[in-house]
Formats: sequence, structure tokens, C-alpha cells
Amino acid sequence: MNVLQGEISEIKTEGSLSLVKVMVQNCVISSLVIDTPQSSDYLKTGHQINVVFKETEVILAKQLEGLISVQNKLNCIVEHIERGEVLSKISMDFHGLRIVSIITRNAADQLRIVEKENITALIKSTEVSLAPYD
Amino acid sequence: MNLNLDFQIREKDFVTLYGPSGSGKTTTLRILSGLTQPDTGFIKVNNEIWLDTEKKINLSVQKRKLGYVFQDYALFPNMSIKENLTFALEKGQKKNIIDELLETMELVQLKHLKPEKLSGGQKQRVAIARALVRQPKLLLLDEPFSSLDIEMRLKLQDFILRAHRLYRLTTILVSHDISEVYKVSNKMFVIENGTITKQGDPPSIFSSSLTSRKFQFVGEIVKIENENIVYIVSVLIGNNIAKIIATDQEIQGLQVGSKVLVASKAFNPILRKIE
Amino acid sequence: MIDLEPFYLTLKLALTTTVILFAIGLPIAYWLAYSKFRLKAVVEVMVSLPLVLPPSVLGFYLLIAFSPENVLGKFFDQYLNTRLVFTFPGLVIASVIYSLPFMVQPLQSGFKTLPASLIEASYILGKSKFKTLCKILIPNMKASLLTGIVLSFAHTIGEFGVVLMIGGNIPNETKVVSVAIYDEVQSMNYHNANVYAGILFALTFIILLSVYLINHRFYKINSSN
Repeated sequence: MNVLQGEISEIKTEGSLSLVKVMVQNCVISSLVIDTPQSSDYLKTGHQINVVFKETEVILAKQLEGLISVQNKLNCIVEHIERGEVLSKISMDFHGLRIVSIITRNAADQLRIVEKENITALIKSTEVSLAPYD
Repeated sequence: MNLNLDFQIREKDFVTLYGPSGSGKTTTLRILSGLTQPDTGFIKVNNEIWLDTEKKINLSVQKRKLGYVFQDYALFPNMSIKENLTFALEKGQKKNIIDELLETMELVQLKHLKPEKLSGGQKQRVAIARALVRQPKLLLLDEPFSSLDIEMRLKLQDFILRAHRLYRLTTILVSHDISEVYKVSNKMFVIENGTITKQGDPPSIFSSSLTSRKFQFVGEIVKIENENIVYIVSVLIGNNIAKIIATDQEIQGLQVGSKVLVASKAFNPILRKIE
Repeated sequence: MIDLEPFYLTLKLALTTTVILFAIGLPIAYWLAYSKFRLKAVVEVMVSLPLVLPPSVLGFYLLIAFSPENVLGKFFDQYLNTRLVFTFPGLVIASVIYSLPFMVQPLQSGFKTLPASLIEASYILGKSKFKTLCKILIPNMKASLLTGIVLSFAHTIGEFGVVLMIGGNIPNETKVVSVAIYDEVQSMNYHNANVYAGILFALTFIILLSVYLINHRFYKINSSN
């Protein structure tokens, strides 16, 4: 589980769906939730909140160009790589916070990921959960 | 430790008293049933005052009509299953309730056996049936599943739910098992160090740490496999085993038997009609 | 030839004593097992005293108390028209007091070993204390009941000191077997003493053996669940 602390900066609601934008280290991470400010106390701009997403939902890209539907694009630096037969685990630094991605070994090899280089972590807003501080 | 409680329960609710052992859950049941006397207190059930220490009212155990299932079942060893139930009959009460309960609790085959011949789960069913003979409106259950294995526990939870609905009971269960609380009760009180620290419906109490999850279940870990890079965790949710991928960081502090919340965003699951 | 009368007297005494002891021992044991009375320990000591006191001490005090010159003896003499010293009724009362711990202690421990939840379950099912005692407690402590009854019976058969102090040696009234043996030895009739002693030995041996055998069976039944 990747957990990043942030502050809600914007909420857009339609029906019972809300698109919530959260400021994390001066970057915006958006999350789509089945809740509205009316139904849930935690949905308020300025509210401190945790952004949560699973390691296996983190897509990695290098030299990303063109258009892409994924809303959350986080520029990171590769810190450590762990390679298995099928899977690889890549630990990254995102403005001092740690993000982990688990992708297939094939994908990691094709991207030729090495330590200390720049990389983009992509997470769909439907995969991002929100949780209050513990 | 001081026990200091103030709560109300609606009719036909299935309430759990949840908390660590030694927090005062069992004592609460004992005070409700009159087995233990509190220093001061007030208990009112259906407009009938059972206890009012100020006015020196204290209805005896025998007169508080309720069902109570003990942790050790407390079946009478000198009586057969049927005799255990018959003993509970009130003066002049019709006997057909005995056969009905034997039927409901699936005890007909066993009715002539003595309690010592029964398995834990069977004893538990007899204890529940016996508690219901007088047709009480209030049923108190003191950790009824704690000594049973997972499979038996699930089955008994179904029996209790069936009895709760069939006899329109108001049920109070003492438990420290999250998945049990989730499955059977619609209201819960968290008791810690003798006071109620939280109350509400189980989902809102347990899931407060993951607010935006709409897709979540409580289960028990039955297996953890290390698959290099990730772990595969098998979780028993209801009657189904779900397999979930977890990292070494997530798995810290978890072991087989741990109760876990399984949550996902509501956007992934696929729905398909079963023909 | 030996006289069989002492045997008849011994059995009559043991039987009467056991019946009376059961009737008063059961409530005392119940009270001792469940009461929260603070001075309970004093009562427990009183009940157990006959275990440690020399029978002659007990016999001496009872002899004084039973004397028609004292309150108890006078009461029996005047209102019940019964003399307690050197009579069978006096023997019975003395034996009841002397064998009290042999009835009360097994019953008390029998009550205590029953799980409290059995009693509580019965109360919650609306049953009175008396009904709980008769239908739940007593049927589930058969081993203790048997032990209490038989030990009291056997102990009464075997008593000597108290009987001699209270009853003396009156044929057909207070001369029980143990006293008869003493009597025969005093008169150098070793053969008769031998016969009395042999029969008494065999009798008590058989009684105790059957208790242990039956209790082992109870134990097996209880431990098989």
C-alpha cells in the first residue's frame, strides 16, 4: 500500500460521484470516489487526508510523450529495484515520499530501469482511495 | 476496574458488545440477567423495571425472563438433550415448543443422548434451544463461538441468525471477533476498560480508517504464501476464500487467523448474472 | 458362643445416625458451599472438630451436656421424656455429632466441584433454589453423596471412645460391637474378641471396597465427556 499525505484542494461532484483533487508535495493527485460532500464529512476542501493506492496499480513510464488518459502523473527518481522471475518491485522517491510499484519483470526489462534515473509513475484516479489520518 | 455503562437497545436489534477480554462484556450480561449485582444501576426492559438501586427494586434472576447461553454451555449432565429442554418449560407451558426447537436446531436425531456424547457445536445448539424454550424476548450470548473451529462457527452463526428472526428476538452477543460482529449484528458497542468507547453499526465503526472504500469485507486469514516480491494471502470471507496480493510491508503483523479488512475501490469488480 | 445382639445394635445405630446425618448434613454442606457469610470459617471449624479431637474429649463434654442436671439433658428429660445418658437415643445424638464431618465434607466438596454455571443456568430458566438443588445439584454429585453416606455409616460402626463415654456397656441398649470387643478382652475372652473383631473388620472392608469401586465407575463416566 502506498500512502501519501495531502490536503484536499478541489471537489467536483455529479450525482453520487465526486472527483477529488488532493495536493501532495505541490503536485495534484486526483481520486474518483462514490461519495459526496453531503454524504461524507471527510470531503471538504482544506481537509488533511491520506491518498492510498496499491503497488500493483502503479504504471511506470519513461520519456512519456503524447496524450494519455491517466490523470495522475508523478515524476519520481528510481531508488531501488528488486527483480523476481515474474515480477519486479521498484521503489521510487517522490519529492521525499516513497512510492513503490510492482510491475512484471518483462516490463521492467523493456523499460531498462536503472537506479537514480527519472521515471514517471502513473495511477488511474479510479484506483486512488482516500483515508483520514490515523 | 470500574464498569460504567449507559446504553439503550431497540427491540429486535442484534447487538454486539465488542472489546478485548477483561473489558467488562461478560459482566454486563451478568448484570442484565441478575447474576451479578452492580453497586448502582437502572435496567428497564419493555416498560418493566428490572433494577433500580435507588428505589431498591431488584427483580430476581428467575423473574427476568430471558435466554442466556453460557460460554461453557452449562448443559445439565444428568439429563438427555430433550430433558434439558423439557426442564426449562414453565408451569403450564405447552410442550410442542420442545419439538419445534429440536427441529429448528437440527437436534431431533440427538434428542435422547446425554450432553457428554455431543460435539462442541452440537452442545452449543442445545444450549441455544434450551435458552429459547420459555420464549424469551431477550437472548444473551456469551462468546458462544469461541471454542469452535471456523466451519462450525459459520454454521452456528447461521443458526443464531435464524432463531433471531424466527422468534423475533432482541439479541445481545458478547464477542471479540470482528468477522462475527460483521456477519450477525446490526448494532455494536465497543467496550474498553469498563466504558463504551464507540457505538453504531459495525461497518461505520470498523471502516473509519478507509473512508472512500465502497467494496470491503471482513475476513480471516487462512493462508499466507510467499511468492517472491509479493505474498498471496488467502482470506476466508463468509463461506468463500478470496486471494489477495500483498507486499511485505502490508503483511507485517499478519498471520494465519488474523482478522483483516479486505477493501478495494468499487471500480474494478465485474458483475455477471449467474444463470 | 458370641452374642449377636451387639451387631444388631451397631447396625441400628449406624443406620439411624446416617439417615439423620444426611438430613442435616445436606443443608449444612449446601450452606457452607454457597454462603458468603463472613464467620463461615467458624462453622467449618465446628463441623470439623470431631476429626481432630480425641473421642474422649468429645464424649466427656457430651456426657456433661446430656446430664439431667444440665440444660440440654433437662430439656430432653422433662419435655421429651428421654434420658440421654447411657441410652440408645443419647448414642445416636453423640454419633451424629461425632460423624458430622464425614457427611458434610464430601457433600461440601461435591457442591463446590459443580460448575457455577449449572446453577446459574437453572436460575435463569426460572427454577427456584430448591428445585435446582433437587433436580440439578444432587443428581450430578452422586459420587460425593455415596462417599458421604458410606463414610458416615462406616465411621459410626467403628466408633468406640464416644460410645463408651456416653453409653457405657449396657447389653441390648448401648453395647455395640466395638464396646463388646473391649469387654471381651477385659474378661480375657480372646476367642470371642477375635470373632467380633474379624466380622467387624470384614464388614467395614467390604463397605469401603464397594464405595471405591462404585466411585471409580462414576469417575469414569464423568471423565469420558
